[in-house]
Amino acid sequence: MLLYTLRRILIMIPILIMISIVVFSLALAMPGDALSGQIDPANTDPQYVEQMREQLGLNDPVHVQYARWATGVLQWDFGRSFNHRMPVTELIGERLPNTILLSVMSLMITYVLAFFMGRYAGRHPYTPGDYGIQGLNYLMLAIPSFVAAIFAIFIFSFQFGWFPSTGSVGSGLEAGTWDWWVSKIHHTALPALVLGGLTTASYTQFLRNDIIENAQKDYVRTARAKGTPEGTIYNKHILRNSVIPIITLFGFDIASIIGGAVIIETVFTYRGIGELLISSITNRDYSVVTAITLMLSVATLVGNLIADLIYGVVDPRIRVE
Amino acid sequence: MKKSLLLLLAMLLSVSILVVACGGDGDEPADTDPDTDEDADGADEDTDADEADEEDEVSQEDAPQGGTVTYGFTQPFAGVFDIAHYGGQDDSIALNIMTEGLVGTDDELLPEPNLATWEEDGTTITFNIEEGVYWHNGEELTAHDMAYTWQVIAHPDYTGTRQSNVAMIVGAEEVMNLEDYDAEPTHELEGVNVIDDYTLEVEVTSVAPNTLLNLWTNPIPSAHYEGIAVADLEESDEVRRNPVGLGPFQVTNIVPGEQVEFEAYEDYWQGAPNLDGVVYRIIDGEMAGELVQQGEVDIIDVPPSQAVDLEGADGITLEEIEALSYSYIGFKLGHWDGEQNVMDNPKFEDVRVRQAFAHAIDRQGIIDAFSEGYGTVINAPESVVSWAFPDESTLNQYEYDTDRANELLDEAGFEDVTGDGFRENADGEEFTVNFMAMSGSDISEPRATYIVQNLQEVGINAGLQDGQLFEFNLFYDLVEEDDADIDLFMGAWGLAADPDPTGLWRTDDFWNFPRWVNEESEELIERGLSEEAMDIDYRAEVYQEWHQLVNEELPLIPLNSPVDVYAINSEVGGVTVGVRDATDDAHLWYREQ
Repeated sequence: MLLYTLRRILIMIPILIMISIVVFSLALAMPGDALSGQIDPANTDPQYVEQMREQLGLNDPVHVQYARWATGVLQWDFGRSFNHRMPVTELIGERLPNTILLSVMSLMITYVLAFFMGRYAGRHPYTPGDYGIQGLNYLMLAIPSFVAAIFAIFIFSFQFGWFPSTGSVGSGLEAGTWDWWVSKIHHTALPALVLGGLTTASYTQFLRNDIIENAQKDYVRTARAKGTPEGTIYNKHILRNSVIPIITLFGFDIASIIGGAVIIETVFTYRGIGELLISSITNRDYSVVTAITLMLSVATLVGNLIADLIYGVVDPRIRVE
Repeated sequence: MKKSLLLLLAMLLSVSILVVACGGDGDEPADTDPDTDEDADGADEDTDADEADEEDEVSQEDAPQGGTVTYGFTQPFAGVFDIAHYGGQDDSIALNIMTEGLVGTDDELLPEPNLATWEEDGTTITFNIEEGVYWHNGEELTAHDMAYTWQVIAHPDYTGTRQSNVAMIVGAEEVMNLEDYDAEPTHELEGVNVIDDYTLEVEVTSVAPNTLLNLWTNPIPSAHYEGIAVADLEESDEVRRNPVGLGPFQVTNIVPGEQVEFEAYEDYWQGAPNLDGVVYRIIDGEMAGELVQQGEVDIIDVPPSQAVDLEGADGITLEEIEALSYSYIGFKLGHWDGEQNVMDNPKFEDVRVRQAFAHAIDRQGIIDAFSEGYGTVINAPESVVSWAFPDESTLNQYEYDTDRANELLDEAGFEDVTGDGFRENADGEEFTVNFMAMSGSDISEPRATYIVQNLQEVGINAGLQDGQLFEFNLFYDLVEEDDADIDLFMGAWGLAADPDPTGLWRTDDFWNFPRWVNEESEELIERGLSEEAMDIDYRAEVYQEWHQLVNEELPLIPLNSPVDVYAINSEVGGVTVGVRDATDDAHLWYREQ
């Protein structure tokens, strides 16, 4: 197991190098740079822009720029944001807590919804209730997240006024106080609901199918033969086995949740990593774009690794060598 | 998103700004009253505003006290809360709420005293600073703060972009070029002479009519920044987490990129503000109109498409103001040879062809159809707000007239020889026109298509370049390098308070995108900055003449001067929509309880 883990980590290194090359060259391939918006003869002049390009090394050959950037990254220096005028690591550090809060809340919502819907549908397959849940699932799978977000804002914020529609925290509150946390969670609730709600479908179907399959298994028949009540069979025997594959999905989800947050954060003007990524792309703030993309790639790789490892832990029959 | 860039650019700080590139939309930033005289007593067509403004005039004590107002903006702020360093409008709105400069601009964009009065005597300017003006940290504003500010900007390590606003001070260039220097701003500029705490003398290198508008006159707190190296200033906590200013509201809390909370500064030099506090909040631009109706935001600049929906809405007052910008369609007349513009493209060298294009384009129709009527057709490349905007009656109006366009093209010898429905050029060769426009808003595409159709109606084989629109960065990249495919391009400029065309129109200006070279224009621009031009009437005449020349030669077709619309919650009063944003005189804002 240890050997397997080490091997997986070693394999990640060349993958990461390749990803970094792709990420870096795609970022450079975007037309324009952070300075191309700076057309402002009073505050700057063309010489200044040229001088800044030279100073920032934007005129160097691509491989030179890549080497400089990669050297920095290895020393945990992702460069400076041209727009925010601060180190990228600090900038991401400022935004990351918001995205983590959003991700955790949306994961919780996903798990809770999927657990109850999946359990119900699995226990009562091919009934109107099951079809209803499946219909709902497919509907959520089909709705693009930005459409869902706009509808959610319209209905829950504007019509009912239950949730604030923008921002990640209210005003007039001191960070760290109880009220501040309440406001924070209140602001995060609606985006988390949309983000979590839309990813429920795969979990629900997974759980439902697994429960149906398990219900045909021998150990269930044995339990029935012994006269175990139906409720105990489902809640104790079947559910325990069926929840295992769901747990492993968690690893794969780390990256996809952050990816989904890109769109949701933008619509809700919720200041997180995703919103930062979008605005940095628009402003050609390369250092931020490459850092976040790289971060998402690492999250995907690590997520996959975690998923594989958890498999081995929760199900001893799976032995990875 | 692109709009915001425009905004950023266009609104760049204070007086110093000359000109800024804008995305091509009618909804750029900028503001100033169309009819400047009316500004003082409120927009007269709007009774709510009238009442409000009258109330401020009566006196502050009569206005309701207390409450909080939320000022909305649609682009996340970078968080550089230092007036000498910030980059865009996202930060400048917050800065304008919390700090002020020595010199302001009046309704006609001429300098007016604010924290100081001044006397100009040749190359010497003497500032007399108001006594009893305090920074939010309790220190008094003195002449040393201003001298310190100039030292910071002239410092070799300075990270902002305002060097050009101090370069005219005697001795500033020397400091900027120091090889061996102290990391802190300790290098005195030769031309700056602090006479006492409230008197400051500045010697500039030459006499120019726009010195006062170009000179940097926004002080930064020297005591607050004590001991910080110039290179570290923009990153310091003193700038980013607890900034200090001179304005009516002081910062209490900053949520990065999201909101800035302010509380009233009781010792504000013009008297304590009416409100308890202000919140500057970033919201999604698509929802701006809705959020005002919901009461989540009290003051915000809304695009025309949303303004239309708010007209007549309960609880909302709309205030319009002519923008300090204009949009245009430029002809590529030449290229940049690395040093200067060379006008060598024969395609549009016949002025009749350029004039025919102007007649062929339905400029009023564009405003009506795509900007909901918010805008004014102009025939000179200047904002209608400016005192230098020429007398329209002396300009050729280029009204929408396809007959006149056809006539001009015929005269120029552009006739359809091949019978394919499109005109050939004077030599009988194929004449195709690539029109290049920016993407970025929902009206970009239909508007560009409409212009292309306008041209086709007079027999010009016009089409969108590569059949598509171009994203802001790519657009300006291609325009800057004079891409061979570009014939016509639609852009916009945000303007500075001073009308001097230098920077955009001279032979050696890289940002002279049409690459138009004209000796008479050169001479007029120089005369506009000469010593004689210290007399504003003379200067206005020179610019009038220059505008007539441009209007006749038409290196670009001015499209319109847009109108900015602010949606303001009717409970909130005392708001003056100003030249750059609606933060002027924030101490007079009040909220009816």
